[in-house]
Amino acid sequence: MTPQQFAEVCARIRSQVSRVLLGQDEIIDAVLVGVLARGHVLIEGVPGLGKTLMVRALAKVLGCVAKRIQFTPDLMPSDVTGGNIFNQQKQQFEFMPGPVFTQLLLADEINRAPAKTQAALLEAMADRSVSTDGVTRPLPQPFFVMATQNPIESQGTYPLPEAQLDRFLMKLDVAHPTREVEKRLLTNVVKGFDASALENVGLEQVVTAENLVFMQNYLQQVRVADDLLDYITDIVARTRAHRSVYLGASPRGSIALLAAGRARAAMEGRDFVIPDDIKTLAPSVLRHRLILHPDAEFEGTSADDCITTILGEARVPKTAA
Amino acid sequence: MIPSLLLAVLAIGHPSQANSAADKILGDDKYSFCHDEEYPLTHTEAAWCPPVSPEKNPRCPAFHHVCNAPRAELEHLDRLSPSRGSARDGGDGDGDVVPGGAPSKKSRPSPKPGSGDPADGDGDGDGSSGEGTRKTPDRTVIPEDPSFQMPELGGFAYYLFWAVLVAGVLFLVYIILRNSTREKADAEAVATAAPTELDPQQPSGPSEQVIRDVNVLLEQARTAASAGDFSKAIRHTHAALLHRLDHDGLIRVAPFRTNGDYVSDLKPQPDLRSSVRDIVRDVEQVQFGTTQPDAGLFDRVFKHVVPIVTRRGDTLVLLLASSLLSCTCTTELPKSYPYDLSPSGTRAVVELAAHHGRTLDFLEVPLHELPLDDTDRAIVLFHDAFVDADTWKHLLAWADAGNHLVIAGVALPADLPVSYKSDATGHVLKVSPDEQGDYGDLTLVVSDTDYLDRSGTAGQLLLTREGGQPYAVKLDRGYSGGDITVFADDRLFTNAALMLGDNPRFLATFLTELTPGPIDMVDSMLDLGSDGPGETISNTHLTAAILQLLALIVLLYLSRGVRFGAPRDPPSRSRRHYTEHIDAVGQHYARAHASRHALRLYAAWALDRLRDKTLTSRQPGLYALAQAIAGRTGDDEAKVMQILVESSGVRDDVDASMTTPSRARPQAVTDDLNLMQELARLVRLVGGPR
Repeated sequence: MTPQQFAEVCARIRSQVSRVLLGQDEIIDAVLVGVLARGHVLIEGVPGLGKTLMVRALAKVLGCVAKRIQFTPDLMPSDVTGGNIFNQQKQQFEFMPGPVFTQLLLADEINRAPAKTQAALLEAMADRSVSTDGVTRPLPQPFFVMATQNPIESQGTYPLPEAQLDRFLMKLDVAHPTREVEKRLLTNVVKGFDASALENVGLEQVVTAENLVFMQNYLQQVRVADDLLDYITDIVARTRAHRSVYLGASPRGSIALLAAGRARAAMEGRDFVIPDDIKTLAPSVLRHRLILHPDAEFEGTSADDCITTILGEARVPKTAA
Repeated sequence: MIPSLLLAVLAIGHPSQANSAADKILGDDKYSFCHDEEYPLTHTEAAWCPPVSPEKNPRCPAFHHVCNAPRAELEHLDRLSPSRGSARDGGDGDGDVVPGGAPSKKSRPSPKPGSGDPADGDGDGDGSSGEGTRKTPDRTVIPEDPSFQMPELGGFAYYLFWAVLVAGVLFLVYIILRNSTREKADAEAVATAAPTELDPQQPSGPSEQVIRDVNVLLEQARTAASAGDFSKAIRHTHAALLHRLDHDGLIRVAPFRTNGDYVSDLKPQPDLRSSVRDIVRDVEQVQFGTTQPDAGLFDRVFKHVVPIVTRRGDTLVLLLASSLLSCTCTTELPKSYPYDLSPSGTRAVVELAAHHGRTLDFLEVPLHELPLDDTDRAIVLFHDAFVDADTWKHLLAWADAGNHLVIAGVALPADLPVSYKSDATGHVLKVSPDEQGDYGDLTLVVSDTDYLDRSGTAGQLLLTREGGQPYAVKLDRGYSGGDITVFADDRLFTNAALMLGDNPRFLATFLTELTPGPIDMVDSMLDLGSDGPGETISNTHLTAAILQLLALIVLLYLSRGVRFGAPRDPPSRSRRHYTEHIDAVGQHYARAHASRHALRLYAAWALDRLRDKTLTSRQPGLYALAQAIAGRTGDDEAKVMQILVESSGVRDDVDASMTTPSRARPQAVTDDLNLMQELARLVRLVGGPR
């Protein structure tokens, strides 16, 4: 596969998903980066913005199986992972796989479940396997989780611990669509678009699950210059030294930034990463990995503000300036 | 106070010294007709020549020679009202005095017609003037040009044009100097950095001298390419491109900016953006990819970059060309003779009046809007003032109300007992014997004089010609002290009149005696303001300059985009609003689930406030407080007591308030909030927080 072919495939995937998800091109691109980089994506935003629709459309286009878990306060870990159930006919315990055994998983409102249940999913995300009663079962390949959470100030939420947040490759903030996009959306509905009947839309399956795994492996061939490794290191190191940041990004953040940069480079038909890839993805990859000082939060400083400052200070390699 | 008043009084000249004051006034070089022997008189103004001889006119020694100089050519006669002068002069107005036919500059914006006889505007000296009647002057209407033509620069526009041109030249010089200085600095930098630059392994660290000169960078690129170092050659070419775009204000080069940022900056110029994106893609392949640079790649990059970076100066050339193209000025401005300073003008009379403590100014409100409750105010109507029948009625009523109206040559209404007569003889006027007590035995000299025909002995003679014909008559009006003084013409109120005889002394005495109040003059310019901004621009000859500036703005917009300057962040606020702090504190409490802590603080304040508002004496315990609040608000006493007890408990339980309620018990937060709301309600009911 050449870089151009890779980019063409990605463009076709993007194009197909965009047919049902209007005005969310950046989110689609970011999710695709997450899928290709073998990461998981946390999306923060209010309900009704088409997250489920995107997962279903992605599953259709990528030829993967998709499932959805609605997280609630009484959701148990076994409701996610599955568990051993006694089969009276066979007089033995049998493992009943939970919804996590899928390829694309939408974990809706993940911060509504208690920490124990969140941890069950996050173990699956990190290790791509589920352990129950001493038996470890691998998850299907590819495995991608798109989790959504309500803004943390909402009542009845259980904020994800920092260690668990760190396992998400990217955190995306979804805003409401613009007026024009929303009108186009309504126009489609008037014309008969039904989000629950995607088969009527005629979405084309662009790749198979095997192709997708191949594309994920292809990213290893994307070159990263030494200067860019310095650039990534510089950015992440600056998060740890920023005056408003109590806890900066971990080395996992550096690795995530590198993987995401490679995915973006390949999606644009390049077999090498450029500083733009890193700079563009840094906010999404790093924003959930920073913990701010209380006084900075007091002043209204956000993680995005800190990252913007850092990107405005880190010297881009091979610059002409 | 008293000494300053005394000084002010002493500074005011006595009318008996008016002649010497006129000597000083006309001695000023600005009155060119007294000093410039080549001053071009109009034919009307030349009427002052016969009574003037060098020995009779010490105040204007050059005027005798001026009379022999060529007469002025007048332009736009069709736009002028009839000239100031006698019926015999013909229709040569004395506005737009231009030797050689070029336009003159005036102190007043549009041509003030001459003060000639309204009846003789046709230049034929029609017989009506000799029969004692004059036509009511028509308002001068400036005809529209049938075809548009760019007006020539004049007045302010002339100076504005030169200011823009000089600024442009200075800017060009500055750019040239700056570039030459930069080239020199860059050349020195190249010389010092040469060993380092030739080392391909040397990383470009922040301490490296940055070369911004495009020519130097391109030259270095060529040198590196010829040496076979295509990687370096491409790097220099890329740098040349970015610095050129930066210099043109299209992008902002900074160490933290990426090529993608630069391409984004070029969004307003899609073609250029596309070219730069292609170049950047090739460069990045070399810098970050696996592509080995070769001559072919360098040539491709170089050929794309050179057309972009060599378009320097285009904007400046365009601007300069537009300036030159939009310039319609003549190569040499004519010598100007402002109207106010001409023999027909009134500036010297105004200065003479000021010397004697009287302020003369041109009236700015329409005549028909003069308030009838004014008193002791005076107006001098020159011959070209526009007065219709209704305005005459208003003016006569205004004079009846106790004001002073001076009519100097303007066509008279029929109900006044005087009328104009005109003949060609006589230059000398005498003060009538009845007025010599006030004025003295003065001898006045003017150019050809008209005279008045009065009904019987109507009015009081003020001036007579040598032949005895009345020249100025004063008519008393009503019982309020108002009067009307009628002069046969307005020649006495001109600059030229001050040259001769006792004219200055008469004028000073007349104006001093006329009224202690303000004196206004009225001519044809009254109420002739522009109807709109376009007409104003046209009248002030600014059309060319404004078109030129607009063209410059359009060119700047085309070359630099919407912003002409470097983008700047909005000024940051030095202090946050108090409400933002409160909001931040509230959000922080909410995030920390610190409702109990917030309740403790609020309860302490609210209990103190309730006690202050309801209890007149210091009574311990909560029950008395609950009784007082219940009595004040009408609430159930037990319920109030419950609220107070709970609040008091929270206030005193410091340990409990420092521990956050369990996150599993959202009800606790709700209860705390409800208690705070109840307390707030009680505080509000007993008189509010203050």
